[in-house]
Amino acid sequence: MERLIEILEDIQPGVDYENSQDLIDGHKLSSLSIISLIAELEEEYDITIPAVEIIPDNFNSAQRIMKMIERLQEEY
Amino acid sequence: MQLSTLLLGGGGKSLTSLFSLVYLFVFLPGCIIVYTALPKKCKKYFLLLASYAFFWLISSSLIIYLILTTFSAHYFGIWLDRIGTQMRSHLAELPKEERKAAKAVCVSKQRRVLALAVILHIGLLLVLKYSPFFTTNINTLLSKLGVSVQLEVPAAIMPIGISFFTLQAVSYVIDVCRGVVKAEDDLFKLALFISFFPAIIEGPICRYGQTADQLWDCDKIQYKNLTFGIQRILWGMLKKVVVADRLNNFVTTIFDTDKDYSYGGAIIAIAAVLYTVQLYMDFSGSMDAVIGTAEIFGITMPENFRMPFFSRTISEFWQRWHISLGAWFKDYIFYPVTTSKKMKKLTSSARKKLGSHYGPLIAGAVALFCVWFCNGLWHGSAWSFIFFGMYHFVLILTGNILEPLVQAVNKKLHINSGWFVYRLLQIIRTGVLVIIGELFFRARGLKAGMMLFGRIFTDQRFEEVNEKVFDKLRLDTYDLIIVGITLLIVFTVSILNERGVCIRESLAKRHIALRWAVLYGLILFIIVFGAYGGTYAPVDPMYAQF
Amino acid sequence: MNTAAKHFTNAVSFVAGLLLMLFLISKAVTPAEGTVDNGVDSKDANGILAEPENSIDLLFVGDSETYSSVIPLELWDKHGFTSYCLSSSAQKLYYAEELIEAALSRQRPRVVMLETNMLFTKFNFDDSLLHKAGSVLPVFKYHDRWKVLLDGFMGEETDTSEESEFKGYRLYTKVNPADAAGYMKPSDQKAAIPSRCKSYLKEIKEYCEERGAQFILFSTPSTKNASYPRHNAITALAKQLGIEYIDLNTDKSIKIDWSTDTRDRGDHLNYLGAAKATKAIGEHLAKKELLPDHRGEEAYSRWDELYKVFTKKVKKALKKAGLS
Repeated sequence: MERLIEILEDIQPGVDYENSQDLIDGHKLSSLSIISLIAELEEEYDITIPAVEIIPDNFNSAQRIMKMIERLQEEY
Repeated sequence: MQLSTLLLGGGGKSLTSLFSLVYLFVFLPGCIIVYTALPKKCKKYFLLLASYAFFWLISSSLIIYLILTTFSAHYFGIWLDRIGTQMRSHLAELPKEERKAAKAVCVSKQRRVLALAVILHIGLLLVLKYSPFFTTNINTLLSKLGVSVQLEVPAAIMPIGISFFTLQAVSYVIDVCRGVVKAEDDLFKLALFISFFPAIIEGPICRYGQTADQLWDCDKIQYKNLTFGIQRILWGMLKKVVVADRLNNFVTTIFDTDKDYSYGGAIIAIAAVLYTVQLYMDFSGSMDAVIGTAEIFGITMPENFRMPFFSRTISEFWQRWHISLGAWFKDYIFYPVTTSKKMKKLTSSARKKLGSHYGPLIAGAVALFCVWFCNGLWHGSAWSFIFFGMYHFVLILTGNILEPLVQAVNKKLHINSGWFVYRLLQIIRTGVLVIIGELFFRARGLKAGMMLFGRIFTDQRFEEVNEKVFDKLRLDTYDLIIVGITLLIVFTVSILNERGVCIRESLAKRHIALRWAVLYGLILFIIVFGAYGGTYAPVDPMYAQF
Repeated sequence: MNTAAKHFTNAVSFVAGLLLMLFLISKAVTPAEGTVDNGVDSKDANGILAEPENSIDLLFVGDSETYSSVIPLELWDKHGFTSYCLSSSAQKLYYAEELIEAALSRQRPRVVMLETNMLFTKFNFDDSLLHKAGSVLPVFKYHDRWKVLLDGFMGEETDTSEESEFKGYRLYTKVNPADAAGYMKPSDQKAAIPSRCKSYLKEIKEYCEERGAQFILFSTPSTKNASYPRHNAITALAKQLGIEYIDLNTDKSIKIDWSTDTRDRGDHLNYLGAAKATKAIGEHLAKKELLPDHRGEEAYSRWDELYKVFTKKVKKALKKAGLS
C-alpha cells in the first residue's frame, strides 16, 4: 500500500491519496496521470490492466486501486 | 392518405422533434394509454413495437439498417460469450502453468471476432454516412491529378439516428467481449435497448448495463414518474421553444442566407455567441425531452449535460457537454489506445526521460488524436467537422503541454488558481474558445467558416450593433429581454441542481397551490413567449442529422 | 377517495384551470375585430379588413409570387375591377384558407384566384394542428402580440388599422436577370402534389363556391418555380376537381423578358414583369365578363386617388432604378 501511494505521489503530487475517495469522480487524477499509473502499476506488480478495468470504481481511491491489483494478480 | 404522410406531412420533420405536437399530443399519449392498458408481460413488447413504429415513421424502409444492426449485435454477442465460456471451462481443466498460454490463444480469437463485429458495424455507418463525402473528395483528387475518370457520387441514404444506435450496438458488443455484461439471449430485449424511441434520434448514447434491464423490466406507470416526466419535458420545451427557436432567424441569416457576407464582424461574433447558446438550448432541451419521456415509463437515463459553460478548461468542457459521446470515445478509443502494449511501453520509457507530465503525453496525444478525429468525423461528413475535431485536439493538447509552465508562472507570481477572478477568467477563456469552435461547426463548409472568422477581425463595423439591425435580423429588444430572462431561469436552476437541490422533489413537497402556480407559470410562459407560428421558423433537431 | 381517483380529479382540474387561463389570455391578446394587426406577420394581407364592406370583387391568394406579380390598381385602371392580393411570404394553404375565411366575412367576391406555387409548399401535421388550435384558443395564434401590448403599456403608439396602399401588391424595381435556358422545357412528367395540399385545396374551393365565388387557379411566371411537370400536375388536378386553370408560363402572349423583368434571378417578377402578368390576367378576366366595371362610381373614387399615388411612386422608383 505504501509503495502504491509512493507511485501515485510520484506521478501526480499534491493529492491526499490516503483519504481521497473520489480520485476520478472528483477529477483529482487526470487522464494523463492514469496513463502513467497504468504503465507503472503493470511494471511494478507484474500484471496486465486491460482497458475494461479503467472505470471510476477501480480508481477512485488508493484502497480500490490496491484491490484491483490484488484481483488481477490472482487471475490467470 | 397514408399514415406516415398524415403524421409527417411534407417536410418529414414533425416527428423527428420530440417537441412536435404530433409527438407530444398523439404519439406519446397514445403510447402511455396503450402501455397502461396492457398486462405487465406485454408492456415491454409494446415498448419495442412503439419504438419500431416510431423509427418506421421517421425513416420508413431505412428501418432495415436498424434491424440488421440489431441482428448482428445479437449474433456477435452470443458468439463472443461462447468463446469466453469455452475458454473458462477449458482453462479450469488445465494445470496452472499452462493456463496463461491457453488464455492468450482464446483472447486473441475473441479479439478477432470483436474486430470483425466492429468493422461490420462501423463499416455500415461509414458507407451510409460518408460515401458521398469520400467519392466527392476522390473525384476532386482525381481531377487534380489529371485523371479524367470520375466516380458517381451516391445519393445519401442515411437513416436518422444511425450514428447513435451504431455506437450503442458497438458498445454492447465490446462490453460483452470485455465481460462487463453478459451476452443477451433475448433478441427482443437487445432490440429494445438499441431502438428505445425517445433516444434513437439524438441519444443519449446509453450502455447496455445502464438501461437494458430497466427497459425490459418495465412496470406500470407511477403517478409521480408521470408528473416528473412531464415536468422535465416542459423544462426542455422552455429551452427549445422560447430560446433556441427565437434565435433561429438571426443565426440562419448570418450562417446560411447571407451569402454575400453583408454583415460586419461584430454581428458575426454575436451570431457565433447566439449559435452556441442556441445549440446548447436545443440539444440539452431535447435531452430533457428524452430523459423526461423515459422517466414517464420509469426508466432512468444518463444525463448528457452538466453545466458545460462553467468549465475551466476545454477538456473539462467535454466532460460536461454531450457527456455520453465523450464517455464513449474515452472508454472505447482513448483508453484502449493508451493501454495497448506498445503505448504502455512507450509511456514507461518516456516517463523515465521526460518526467511524469510529458512522459504519458506522447501516448496520450496519439490517443487524443484518434478520439478527436473520430469525434469530428462522427459529427458529419465534411471537412469543417474534421477541422472542428482537430481544433479541439490542438486546444486540449496545448493545454496539457502548457500546464507545467502555467503552474510555474502562477507560483512565481503568487497567483492562487483557486482565486475567484482567476477561475472566472478561465471560464470566460474556455467559453470563447468553445464559441469559436462552434462557429466553424455551424458554418456551411470550412471555407465559409474561415471567411466568417476572418471578418470578425478584419471588418468589425461596430456601428452595426444597433436596434435597427437587430430588428432586421428579427431579434428585437423584447426578444432579447425574453431570452435573457429565460437564460437566467435556466442558469439558476442549473446551479441549484449542481448543488444537489432537486427542484422537482422540493416542489413536490410544497402545497398544491404553489406547485400548480409554478407549473401554470411555466406552461403559460412557453405558450405566450414561445417562438412559434407566424414568421418564426423552428430549428430542426440539430443532432438528428449526425 | 382512493389515490387513483384523486390523481384523476387533480389532473382534470389542472387542465380545466389551464384552459380557463388560456381563454382569458386569448381575450387579452386577440386584436379588435376588423383591424389590421401589427402583431402578426402579414400586414398587407390583413389590410383586406380595412377595405369597405362588399367592395372587393376579386381576390388573389398566394405566397410571395402573388404580391410580386399582381397589381390590383392596374386592373382598376384598365378594367375597373376591384381586387386585392391576400398574399404573404411563404404562405401555406392552411393560412390561405384562414385568410379567405377572414376576407369573406366582410366581402362577397365574385372570383377567387389561388396561385399554384402553394400547392407544392409542404407543411406538416404540426402546422395545421397549431392552426386549428389557434382558431379555438386565439392565444396560439396571437401570442406574439405581447410585444404590441407592451408597446401600448409603455405609451408607444400602435396603429391597428391601416389600409394597404397598393391593395396587397408590393412594388419592386430591382433587376437581377435570370438564366431562362431551361425554363419550361417540355416534359410529360408530372410533379407530385402533397396529399395534404390537395385536401386543403378541395376544402377552399368548396368554401368559395358555397359563397358564390368562382374559384380559379393561376400560375405566375417564374423560372425557378414553374415547370412542365408542375404544369401537368396542376392541369390534371384542376380537371379532376373541375377548376379553371390559367398558367401564365405557357401563355406566349405575355412576353416576359427574363433579362429585365425579374428581381431575383427568375424567382419573382419585378414591376416590369408584374405589369405584363397583370395585363394578361386582366384581359383574360375581361373576356369572361365575370366582373363589373366600377370606374366612375362615386363609392369607388378612393381607387382613383390610390391609382394616382401609385403611378407617381412607380415613376419615382423606376427612375431611381434607372429603368425609365
